Amino acid sequence: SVPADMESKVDKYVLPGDVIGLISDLNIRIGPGIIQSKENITATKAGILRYSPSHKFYWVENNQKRYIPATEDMVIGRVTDRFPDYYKLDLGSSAPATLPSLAFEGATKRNKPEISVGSLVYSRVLIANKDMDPELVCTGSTGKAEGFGELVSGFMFTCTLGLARKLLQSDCTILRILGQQMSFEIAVGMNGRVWINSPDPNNVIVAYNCIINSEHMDDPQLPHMVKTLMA
Amino acid sequence: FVCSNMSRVEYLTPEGYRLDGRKATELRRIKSRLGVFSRADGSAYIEQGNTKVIVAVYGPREAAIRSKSKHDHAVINVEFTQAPFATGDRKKKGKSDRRTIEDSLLIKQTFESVVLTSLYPRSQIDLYIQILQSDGSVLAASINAATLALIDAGIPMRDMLCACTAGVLNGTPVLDINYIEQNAGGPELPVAVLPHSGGVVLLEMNSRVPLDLFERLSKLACDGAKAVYNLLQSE
Repeated sequence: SVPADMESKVDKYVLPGDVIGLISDLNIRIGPGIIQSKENITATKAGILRYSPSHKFYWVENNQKRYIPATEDMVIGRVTDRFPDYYKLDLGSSAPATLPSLAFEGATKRNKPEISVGSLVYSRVLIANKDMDPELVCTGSTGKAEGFGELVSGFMFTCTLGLARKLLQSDCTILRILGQQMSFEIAVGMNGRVWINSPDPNNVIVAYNCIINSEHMDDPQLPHMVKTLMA
Repeated sequence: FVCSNMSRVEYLTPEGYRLDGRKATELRRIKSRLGVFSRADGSAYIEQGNTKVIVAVYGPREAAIRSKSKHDHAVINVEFTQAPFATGDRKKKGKSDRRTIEDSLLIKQTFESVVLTSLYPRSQIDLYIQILQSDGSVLAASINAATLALIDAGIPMRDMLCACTAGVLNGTPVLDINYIEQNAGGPELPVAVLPHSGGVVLLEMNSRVPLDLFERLSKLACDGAKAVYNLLQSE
């Protein structure tokens, strides 16, 4: 059950230093954006306080541009360097990430993928902590490709982390509306990078503008906006 | 020896009004905006009366100079500059000006105690502060703007650092002094506090004051900083 005083703060905007609750309420699990400071639980980021009843887990949902690597995130990285056994990728975070050459489906020492410097790769973060450079793999947990790998042609742009999370939700309205209007393929990285590919370059430009505009719009406004941009 | 004050400016009238019509403990109007730079990770613009400061934050990003990075926490770099058009006379202040370096170091140390740098080892957080218009209380306004910019960048902090300057006019402690009052020759006490705990992070003074006056001044400045916090929070 949610402690009474913390319940009042859920889904409300908090600022760094705002006391959210007390340590004495032992049923609390704290997540990103919250720390324990003496006997208080305080927010360290500005955002909306969220609570997940199934996991009994509190976190602060904020919107920022800078990506901090976290395990199991799906990210789009750009290859900056190539070594015999691994690639160095730029994720937009403070440290470059490593992608072993064998971390692809069906890769063996004789049969390694050939990815050139400057190309985009959709991968999953395997190891991420503050003391090490992050490590990536291009397979799902079963070892199958599952959509990971090099992203060929298309167009990549950056967006805020909040918009990336919104696009990854199963009920994302803007992508559903765009899908009804044109055919395209899209890859969304949790590091605030989005890749779009379509046979017609105009579609790519329209899709980019629609997605960027949709960040600060409500769902009912989206169909009209898309129609205006498609004309 | 007779001292005659023929052209003495009345910084504080007997009714309690200052040159700009404020009362002794009244703050200037604060206006702020977040996210003013699209390229920076975080940015903020603050107006405290006529003092205008803009701050851009980049980070946590890879340390540019490996030797300067620390293995267990992030390094905060501050570049504190004043635009040549910021004051009445146009003057181009160099980056290696002694006063500028001092102020940059002051702000760097202030934020090192508030930002949770241990979460981002071997990286750096850059704060670019520029004063667009200087009308007194510049250090305090810069700290307030930098706090907002760090919030915009999503960099975790222990508390929202808020700052305010106190001074003395005609023997009375006043809050939030402007440029004319600053040049009146009285003491100037910028103070930065953590609103929730009340702890003082920064306190700077370059003149001499008697101890009881200092106590009143510092208390006034702390209350002023908390009032700034309330204003910023409601925005």
